[in-house]
Amino acid sequence: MSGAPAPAPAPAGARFNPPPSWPVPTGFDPRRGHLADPTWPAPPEGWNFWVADPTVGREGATLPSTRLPRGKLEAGERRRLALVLAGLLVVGVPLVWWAVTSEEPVAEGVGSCWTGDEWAEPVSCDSSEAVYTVEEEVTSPEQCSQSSPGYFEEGGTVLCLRKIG
Amino acid sequence: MILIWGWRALRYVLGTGEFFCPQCGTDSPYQHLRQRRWFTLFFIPVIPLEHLGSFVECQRCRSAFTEAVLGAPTLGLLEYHQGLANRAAVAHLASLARPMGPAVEDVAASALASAPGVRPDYDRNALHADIRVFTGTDASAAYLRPLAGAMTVEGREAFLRRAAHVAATLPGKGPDMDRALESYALALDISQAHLLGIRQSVLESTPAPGNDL
Repeated sequence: MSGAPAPAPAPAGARFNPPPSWPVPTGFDPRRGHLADPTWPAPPEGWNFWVADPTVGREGATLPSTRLPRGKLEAGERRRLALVLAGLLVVGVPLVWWAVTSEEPVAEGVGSCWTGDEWAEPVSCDSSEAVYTVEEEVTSPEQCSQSSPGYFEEGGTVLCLRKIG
Repeated sequence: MILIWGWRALRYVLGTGEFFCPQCGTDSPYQHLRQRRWFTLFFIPVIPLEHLGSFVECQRCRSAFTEAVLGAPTLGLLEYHQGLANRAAVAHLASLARPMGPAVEDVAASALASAPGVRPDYDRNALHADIRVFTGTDASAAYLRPLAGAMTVEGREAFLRRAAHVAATLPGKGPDMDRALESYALALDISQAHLLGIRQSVLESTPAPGNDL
């Protein structure tokens, strides 16, 4: 009776692909109840009425593979996630390593160590440059012990020094 | 270490096509979109969160609509289905006429050549092809059904009036032709009382078969 058979049900994310000999109007989609003209010629043998819609996919993502056919979307999303994770690794690992290995600010109170040159600077007590350590914190130089070789004065605080070693 | 994080809605294209845009008043391309919120780290979407719903966006005016808008046919589709329905009804009515002959074919072909959605060069050859495929009352009525939700009641009444006029003009009217018209009315969501009124007004204005129209 009819030269134009009803197309098979559409898979998800598919677009209707009419045979070249079918003059379908714009917007024709059998999923929306549109009927094919029965006088249209039969489609070629094995004609695929449904093709992946190339416009289906995510829009506006920050990565370039935004418009993928739905069939490839799963793989595309996995690749996107892998890229995100790789990016986080590339950025995050050096940051964490830097945070862990960078030197902590050196304390300047009792127990802190200092260089012995003219511009004494606080250094780690493990450093070979450490010459003095702060023995106690007092309010005037006279309060430092007799054995103290010197002191630093900071504001109203006097740091009494002891030579290391 | 500074962490830049936030939320962002990403749009996923579910499909594209042509629809009748109520804002533009004409057929326009559309995108059927679904939105989902994502947690972003350094502006990169990392964790998918809740769905924010789906909608249809006109690519011409960028207006957004609910998905119900896709249920309305495009102007092109409406004309196509009108043509298909006219051909199905008239070809089927012609196939019921007795005796079948050139007079019947002339009535049917000329009625279709001026019908909405039918190409103006519609001729006897096209009619023969249609009579071969639009067989059976129910099968023909199926081609009228898409118009039920797409046309106004006045439009559907005008359609039935044309079909009733063709039926009144064809020779060999019988119960089959009556049943065909009743089936068409049912497919077009027109009540039988309404059909009776349409047929009555057509009969009052239609000359007897054999006379000039």
